[in-house]
Amino acid sequence: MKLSLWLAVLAVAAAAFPHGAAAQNFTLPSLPYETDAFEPSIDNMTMTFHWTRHTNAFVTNLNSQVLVKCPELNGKSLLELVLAVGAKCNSWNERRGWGKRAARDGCLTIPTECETLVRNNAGGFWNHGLFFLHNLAPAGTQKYSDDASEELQTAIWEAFSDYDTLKANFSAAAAGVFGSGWAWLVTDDDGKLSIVTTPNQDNPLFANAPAKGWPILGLDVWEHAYYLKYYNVRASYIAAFFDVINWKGVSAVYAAAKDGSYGSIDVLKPAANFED
Amino acid sequence: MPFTLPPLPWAIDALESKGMSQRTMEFHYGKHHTAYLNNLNGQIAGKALEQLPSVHEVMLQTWNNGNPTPEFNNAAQVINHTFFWESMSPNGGGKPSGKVAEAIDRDLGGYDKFVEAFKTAGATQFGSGWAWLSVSKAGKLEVSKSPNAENPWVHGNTPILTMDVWEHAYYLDVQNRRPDFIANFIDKLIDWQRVEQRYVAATSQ
Repeated sequence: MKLSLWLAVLAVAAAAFPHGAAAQNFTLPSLPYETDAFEPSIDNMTMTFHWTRHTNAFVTNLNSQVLVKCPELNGKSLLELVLAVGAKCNSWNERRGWGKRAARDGCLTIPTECETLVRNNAGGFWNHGLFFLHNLAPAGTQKYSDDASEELQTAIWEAFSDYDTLKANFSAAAAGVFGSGWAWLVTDDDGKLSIVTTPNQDNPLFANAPAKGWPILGLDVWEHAYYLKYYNVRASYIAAFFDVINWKGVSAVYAAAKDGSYGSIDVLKPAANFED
Repeated sequence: MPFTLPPLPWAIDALESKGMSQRTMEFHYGKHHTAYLNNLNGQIAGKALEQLPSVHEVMLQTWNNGNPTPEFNNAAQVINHTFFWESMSPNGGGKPSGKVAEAIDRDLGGYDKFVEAFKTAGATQFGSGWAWLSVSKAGKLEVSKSPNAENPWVHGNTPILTMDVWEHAYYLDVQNRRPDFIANFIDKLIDWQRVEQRYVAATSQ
């Protein structure tokens, strides 16, 4: 993605999350809805366990391992950490000759001993923040045709011809992930949409992501996301997901990405449409 | 000729009182393992791979030196799961004896160290995968872990014990508590007699 855009994102992220003097521990946000409001797509127990056990484990690991082993990462926002996964700051500096300026503007080097921890736990916390707080809305509360912005619908039309094709392509991608991972609808800097998948808790924001993009919609296909209700039938879970998408939230993330302010989206704060 | 699955070594509910529920076994064997087999047969229908004498052979060939072809995941998962069922017994658990116990002492520093290493391998395999006890090419026991469908066979080693840590292996029974699943497997399920047989077979030339 464009360098200037990337720096702008970091600038917004840094401004939004001032570096405190004390250890800035992460906390698990409250969900902006009831966990039993997603039937029949997602069952109450899964919504509950997925957030309070699986997602919370990332918070615990970030605080007790990452921030303890690598205290220089204290105060970095979740987005900053995620963008830094796999970043090779020295070669970046050399390639662009930015030297000190790049260091100041924020090519963040994650210490080697924290690389995997950040990848898995910052990645995991970020992914679940987007999923739970920006991509999900209780059953029956939103419809694509009513709640996806015109801007987003146009982009979907341009990339996929229609909603049904988006659904088919996204579903195929999600079904095709072998093992644990995610399927993503991402946009590039110009608003062009595409679908990518990542293994485990990786995501397209990583500096070393094989397929980069600004995620606007993600679907967790780790078995814990669906096993209690769907058992091995991942395809049914994927189909049911489309009935509980927060299209307003997705549209807001898309708008931010398209106008160069992706960093203004705090995945740990529920989407603005929940404030109504 | 399409390949087939061997039957389970014990009744579908045989491990229920040992912490692996019948419900889990119905899905794990009847759905997951069966699907890998059916999908593999579909993939190799009409191809040369279909003529290989065993799924094990298909697995080794499709590993393709670390650049696995699409059939590998299914072939390896067929093998891994059969090996997993055969690593467990309703009379399992407890401590090993015989030659494998000696080897655990000699190569791994004793049973307690084995348990710690095996628990760590299982708990730290991020995402889906397996924990293994294998005889290395050098003839020594080693504990390892692998992601998704990968296994020690494709690296030239000889497993004698495996534990599935894909979430489907434990989610119905203990949900997110993988360490509880691992502890139960070690305490109550390992068929050490079978592991001993495998060890002896792997170390006698």
